[in-house]
Amino acid sequence: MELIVSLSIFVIVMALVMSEVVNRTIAAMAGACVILLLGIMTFDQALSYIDFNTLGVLVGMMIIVGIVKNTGIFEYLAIYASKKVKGDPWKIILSLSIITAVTSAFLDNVTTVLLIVPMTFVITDTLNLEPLPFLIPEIMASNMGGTATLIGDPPNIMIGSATNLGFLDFIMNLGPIIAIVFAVTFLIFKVLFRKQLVLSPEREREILQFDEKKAIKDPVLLKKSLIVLGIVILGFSFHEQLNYPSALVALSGAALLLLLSRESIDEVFSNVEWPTLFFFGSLFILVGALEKVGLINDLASILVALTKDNLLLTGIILIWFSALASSVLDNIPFVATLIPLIKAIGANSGMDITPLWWAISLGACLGGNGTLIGASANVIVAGLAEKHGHRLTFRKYLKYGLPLMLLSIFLSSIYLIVFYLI
Amino acid sequence: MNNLSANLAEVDMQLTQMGAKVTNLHGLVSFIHFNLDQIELFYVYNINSKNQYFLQMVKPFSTGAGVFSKPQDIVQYIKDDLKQFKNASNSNVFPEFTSVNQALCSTIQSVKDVFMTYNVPQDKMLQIKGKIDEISALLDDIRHTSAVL
Repeated sequence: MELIVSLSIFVIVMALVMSEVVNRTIAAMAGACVILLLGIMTFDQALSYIDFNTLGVLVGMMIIVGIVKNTGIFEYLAIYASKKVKGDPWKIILSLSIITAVTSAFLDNVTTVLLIVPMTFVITDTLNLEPLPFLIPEIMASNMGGTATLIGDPPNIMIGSATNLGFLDFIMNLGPIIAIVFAVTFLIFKVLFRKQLVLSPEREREILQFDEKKAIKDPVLLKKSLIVLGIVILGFSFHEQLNYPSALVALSGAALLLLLSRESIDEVFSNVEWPTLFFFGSLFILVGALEKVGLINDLASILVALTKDNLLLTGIILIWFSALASSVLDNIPFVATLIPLIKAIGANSGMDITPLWWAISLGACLGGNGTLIGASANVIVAGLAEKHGHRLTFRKYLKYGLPLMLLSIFLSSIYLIVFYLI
Repeated sequence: MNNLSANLAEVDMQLTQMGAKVTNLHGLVSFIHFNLDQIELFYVYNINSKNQYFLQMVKPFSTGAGVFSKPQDIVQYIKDDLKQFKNASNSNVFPEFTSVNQALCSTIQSVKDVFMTYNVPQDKMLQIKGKIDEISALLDDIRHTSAVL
């Protein structure tokens, strides 16, 4: 009975989240409260299922970016990059996409696109070029960059938190394939967009008139922010050796930057996305309920029986299933559900499940590139583009996103097979 | 961070490149609407994290009311304004009053546009000033010769 109730509540919440009939945080919170009110688990049990490490990383990085963005560094980088390549449109696309990917490796994808896309509009308006050939690569770069590190995308934060995989593990295992996927994708973009990037010399001169130094609003704050960011990255790199959870690194960095910057706490905390945090917390309770009633363990047993303990088959199924699901569904609830499932597979089969984490990470993160609704960052960019008078439709994005996503998963599958699954 | 902050960033970047020093503060905006018998009053005020209050009247004519440092000051200003408008609505020239004020606001904008666009001769500028002095003198005369409402 408890199993049927928990599963029904989970399915209803997911349906509401996917259909966007109700705000996802409201749907998840309501579902979690119903679980508790029906006594499927106690309040203390619910708290035990909440991954506070994931929440801590998210809060810490939100606070840090809330301060760093005030320095004007992102505007500086966008102008500097555009001038450095002498206004060449293709090179600007590549530069901005590299900035997006690297930023996205450390900040969440939505924040990254909210920082980069406005700069992109100013640049494309100045160059009098259609912005979509700039935005579509940036969308894909944000999802790719986020795949490469522990903290780049919420699925990776959740996976890292649930396993012993650290910051350097993600970089060393996923960094190489992400670099390859990025290079191949952008070679293809260069061919696809070459005819849309014709620029007049006058417009090129205009972009060279920009002064990147004017973009820095607070040089002192910038220096402090870069020092703290450096310490935080070092902290993430060695957090396993130091035996510090990743949340402690992020929150300590946030506390240090708050102390050094003397920014108003109210202003900084207004950048913390509380709805996102409550969504995560509620989701952990919903998935925890499925674990508690034994559903996750049952599913894991079925999967082990179907794949006959075959790591290669399990890995390939997982990466493709994750990618295709993630291209249309929100990858956070999907990964939150898969994590206990994979752990149960490991317990039931005795397989080394480490490659399966890489499979889920690559599938869930890169899968978001498949459609316009595959990732929150995609939707945000489409919204900003529409407001700017340029419609990025589902169909238009699909022409580029789906084939390139399928290619990235194909390359990732080969990578996994060669290095991990056989 | 959200779409609003992204739009803000786009505007700020362009203004900064134009040479502006741009400061962003978090704040709240309130819209205040009074529906009196003969007239609608519409104000907007903005409170920011530096505890500054910017009040502006939007209807029946647009005018900046000022910067305040205490919430009671805004309330008192609007209270006084409301009392004056209620009093004034008893006057038999009240409809003309609102159209005169709207015309004045429009004229201020025209003066700015003309001055910013054309090379205005000194004598024309003095003529405009003369007309304004005439209006001020007329208002003084009204103050001294008319009964209080």
